[in-house]
Amino acid sequence: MPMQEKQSGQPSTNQVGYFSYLKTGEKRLGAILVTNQIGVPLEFKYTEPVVASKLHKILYGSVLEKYLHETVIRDRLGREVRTTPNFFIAPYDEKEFLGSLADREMMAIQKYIDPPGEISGPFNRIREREAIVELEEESIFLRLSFSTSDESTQHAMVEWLQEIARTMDVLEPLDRIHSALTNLCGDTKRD
Amino acid sequence: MWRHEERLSYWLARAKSLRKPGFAGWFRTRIAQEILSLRRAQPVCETSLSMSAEVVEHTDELSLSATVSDGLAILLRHWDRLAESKNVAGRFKIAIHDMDLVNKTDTRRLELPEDSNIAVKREEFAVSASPQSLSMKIPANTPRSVPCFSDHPVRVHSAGRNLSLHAKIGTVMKPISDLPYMRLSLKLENLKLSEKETFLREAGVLKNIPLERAELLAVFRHVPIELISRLRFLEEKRVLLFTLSEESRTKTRIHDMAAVRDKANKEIYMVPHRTQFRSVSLN
Repeated sequence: MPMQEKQSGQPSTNQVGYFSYLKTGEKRLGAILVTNQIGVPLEFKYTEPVVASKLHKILYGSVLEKYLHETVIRDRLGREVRTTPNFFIAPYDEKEFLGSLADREMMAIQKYIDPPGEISGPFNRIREREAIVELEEESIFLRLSFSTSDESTQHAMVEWLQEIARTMDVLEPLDRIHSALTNLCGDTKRD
Repeated sequence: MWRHEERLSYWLARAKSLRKPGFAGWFRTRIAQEILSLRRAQPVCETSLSMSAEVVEHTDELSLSATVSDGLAILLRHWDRLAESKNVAGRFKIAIHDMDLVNKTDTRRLELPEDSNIAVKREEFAVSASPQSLSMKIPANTPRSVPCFSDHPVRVHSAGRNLSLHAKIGTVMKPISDLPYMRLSLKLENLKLSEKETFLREAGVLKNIPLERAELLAVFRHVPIELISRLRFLEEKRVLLFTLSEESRTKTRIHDMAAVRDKANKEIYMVPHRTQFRSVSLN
């Protein structure tokens, strides 16, 4: 399968960005994956495992985790992205760390099982940065957390997500990244 | 004062028996002048004493010695046998409680060994203010300056680049491209009956499975069947695993696909839906 990379600065609706972060033991690493609209990888960048020393733990204190997650790994990867996805998708665990990645907004997603009765329609905004979205063709609901509180941007993100869900399983690449990171870490255990 | 005047009278009275009568008159006159000058002098005076010391503690005692002249020493210039100067030397210790020796010290009262009324003349109140006479007794435990950090400069280690963490970036596609694609089946109970039936009919057309023998096991969306090189269905997990060929394409079709079992031989067949597909551009 050919790996296609676009150098254009314009976001491409055909490209889907993913970000995943893995912490296993003392090792932390992350990766971005950009796929085409059927989930085939176009770009994959990952960090080598980062291990904080005892001095780092003391000096950075409670902000160490955030620093590693956002600055050392995510922002670093963001500078390496060459493709131009519209948005980045991350696992729902990432919702506390959402931010701009390569100047793109992010959303953390998970499958939302057994939605309550009041949820109806394709877009249900339940909090300032959270919504429950129905993927029409698959009749499944997703819980979304956004990196932005701007409602119009959130709507645009949801429309984009529903569009790509017509041609691929939007959650599946996250499992692939996680597996890849686990392999890179040399640890088969999943956190 | 009066006592010494009496003593002078005594001496003057004895002067009559001296060998030279003419001298006695002169002496008497001279003595009277001296006494008059003594009376004009201030009997007690304040004197300034400035001392300096480098280290003084409240518990230190300042040893002082003072010599007080009775004033008769003047007479010795004229006749050393007539009068005998009485100098009173006092030694005393002063406990230092609160003093600033840099400034002027006023001696207000002197406690002398014996109570006597002595005319003290300013110029004869000789206090040895030299460093030797003060004999400042400095304790053996001389206060020393505490070694400060500047005496022993602290070495500074710079963590430098180690302080910030840096992540090296890997760009090899292999870790992700080697992984198979995975599809989870839709929940069949959520599928419409009509859609289930269409899959079973497709199984009859494509795999020759009669409708009554066909059992729908799983349904997958968006499977790029034209690009699949290997495919595996895990029945127990209702999962489809597949890998893609390296074939270069600009377009493909993604189909919905079902796993259907033939109840007769228990075989499972993968049945792509011929009409439920979508064309996708890969550019």
